[in-house]
Amino acid sequence: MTEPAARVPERYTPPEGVEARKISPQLDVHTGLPSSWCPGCGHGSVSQILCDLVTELDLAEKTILALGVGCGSTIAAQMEVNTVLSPHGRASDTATGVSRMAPDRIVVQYSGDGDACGIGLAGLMHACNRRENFIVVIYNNNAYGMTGGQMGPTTTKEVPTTTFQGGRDEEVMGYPMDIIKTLAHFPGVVYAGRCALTSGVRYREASRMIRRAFEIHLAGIKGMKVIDCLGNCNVNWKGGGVTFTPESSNQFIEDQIMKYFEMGEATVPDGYPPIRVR
Amino acid sequence: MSAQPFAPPIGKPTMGAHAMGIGAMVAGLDYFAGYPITPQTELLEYVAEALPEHGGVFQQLGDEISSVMAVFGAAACGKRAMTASVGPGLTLMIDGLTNAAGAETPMVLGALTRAHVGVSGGLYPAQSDIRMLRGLGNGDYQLPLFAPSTITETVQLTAEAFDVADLYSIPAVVCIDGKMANMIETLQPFEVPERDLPDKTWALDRSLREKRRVVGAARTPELDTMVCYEIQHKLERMRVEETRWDSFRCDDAEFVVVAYGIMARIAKEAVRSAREEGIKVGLFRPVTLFPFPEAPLGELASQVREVLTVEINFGQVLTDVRLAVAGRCPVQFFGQPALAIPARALLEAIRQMAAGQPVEPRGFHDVHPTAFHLADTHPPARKQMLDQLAARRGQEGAQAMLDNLLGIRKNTVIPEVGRD
Repeated sequence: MTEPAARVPERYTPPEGVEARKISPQLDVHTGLPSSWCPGCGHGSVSQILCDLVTELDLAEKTILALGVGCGSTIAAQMEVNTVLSPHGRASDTATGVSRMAPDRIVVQYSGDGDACGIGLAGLMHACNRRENFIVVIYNNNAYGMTGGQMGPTTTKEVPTTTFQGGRDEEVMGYPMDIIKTLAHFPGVVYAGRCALTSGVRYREASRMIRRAFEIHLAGIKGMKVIDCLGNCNVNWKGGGVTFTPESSNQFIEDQIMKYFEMGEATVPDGYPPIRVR
Repeated sequence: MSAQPFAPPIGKPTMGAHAMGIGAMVAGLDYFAGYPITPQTELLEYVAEALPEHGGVFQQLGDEISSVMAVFGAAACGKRAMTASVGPGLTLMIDGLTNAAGAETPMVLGALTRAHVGVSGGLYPAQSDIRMLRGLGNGDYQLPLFAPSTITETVQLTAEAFDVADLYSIPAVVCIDGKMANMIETLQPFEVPERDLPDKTWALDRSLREKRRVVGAARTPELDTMVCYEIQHKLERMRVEETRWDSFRCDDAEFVVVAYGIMARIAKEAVRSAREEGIKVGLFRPVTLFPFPEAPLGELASQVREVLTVEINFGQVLTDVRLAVAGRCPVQFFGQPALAIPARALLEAIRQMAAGQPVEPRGFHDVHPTAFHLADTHPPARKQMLDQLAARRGQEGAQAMLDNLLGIRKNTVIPEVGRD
């Protein structure tokens, strides 16, 4: 494996009017297709971060996407790398098989919070316990977006969902799960952290964190790299007649949701300076 | 990847569960993931030892769902991957199998069956999961299903299953029952026919520069419909090219016994005995339960007077036999839910069939002639039980408890299926 950070080439900027793909030695993984995500959704941001990163680090040929089922699976249309789609909740298990059989590749599991922390929790935890070697990026929007905004395991009390219109009923449904806290203590997890996609500053933090996960992987440090990205579901947070705009939903995350979740890195390998978050 | 070539232990005593592992190793297994369940554990232990020695990866994962999905992931990389399980575990694995079938990914499932309904029904061997194995999961598809009846055949068919899976890009299933899994036989020399297998150009570990590889995803609704047609096309091709059967003394037969797996070898004994008595009976053994050898059985049915289907269940292949026979002659059924039908009982059934009588079904007492509620039928046993209870609960309490227990039992009527 190559060294991290230092040897990574700066992104090549072609002269104006010249198409990057033609003169760059790298493979550009941006498909440029219109996305099917709702306007203002953070999936677009994570997709952009991943595409930029994989293109920048020239990892197109080395990256394999392992997707579960959810809004996030349509990243397959945005990011042009080899991809495997598994049923809902089975991305960690599929990624296990792929990373074991293609150990020279970087396997990236991209899941929603329902996929990773709900139906797929057992698979994800066991993967962490077994010290599998892949990257997990969770888009945590506090709801089941694809099915129209039902409550999920990570949903906080304040988020209006269609199944719990007045917000999570803690009597019946308990409390929101902090997946990073849950996984960070596993010896098999070498990098765990939480970022958010609520503003430009947060976007840069998220971008750095995901980049750090790749750098750690490229440095040959074996183990799971888990990143939880808080994002909005501005269209489907609609229980109890509440409506959001992209802006108000991002503000809502800052004001109401973040108090439940610790931001920033929870587990970092030795020798990596911490990434500061607000 | 392979460190050293694998040599099957020809001439050595071999267990049925191990035979599946040996077959997989012969086929060049790269990845195995599983979760322990009786009687699959012996297979798990065998592969755990043999596979890493030959450069493969063995993993024991969190559950059956994880196992089958990890195998799917490995198979998506174009590697030869296998998992195996039993009844309740197979139910969980359906999730991954239907997905692999839809994603057109070749892999192999070892199915070892026992007499469970859910988790009730005990650990007795049975052929009770055949219906499930043939119509696994959601969606309109079937999987090639091999039912070997000897240990050597188990090795051979497991090895071949990998080729069939690769050829049709579909998961293949090899099924033996719990009895065969624990049975030990000398491994005979065998041959796995060479096949012209397609290059796995769709595999994830191929270069992105040539083409982007997507396994099981990112289709349009129209393409999804096309996949349904593709799968049906494959099934049709399999019906023509992969149907296999075996027959024993069917040439001049007036009666035919249809049996597969462990039941076929017992039936062979019964057929031999019946022949000695002068009854002209033959044995027809489907080797693939999907595709079912419909045409050859139908042809045979037009030459005989009657067909008897024998299974260790209540008739899961009977439907196919009836469809194949298509009214050309009467079809009778002889089966029991667990263990194996003794050859002498089957011989009696063959005699009844040859005499033109309806075959008397196997009831509970035929399967378990002694293991009935001892306290009900055996006064000394009842007294002993009462004394033991009385020591702890006093005389009255013991009597009440026993009455209660027996009362519950009395309400539990054990039906004699088809007896009246």
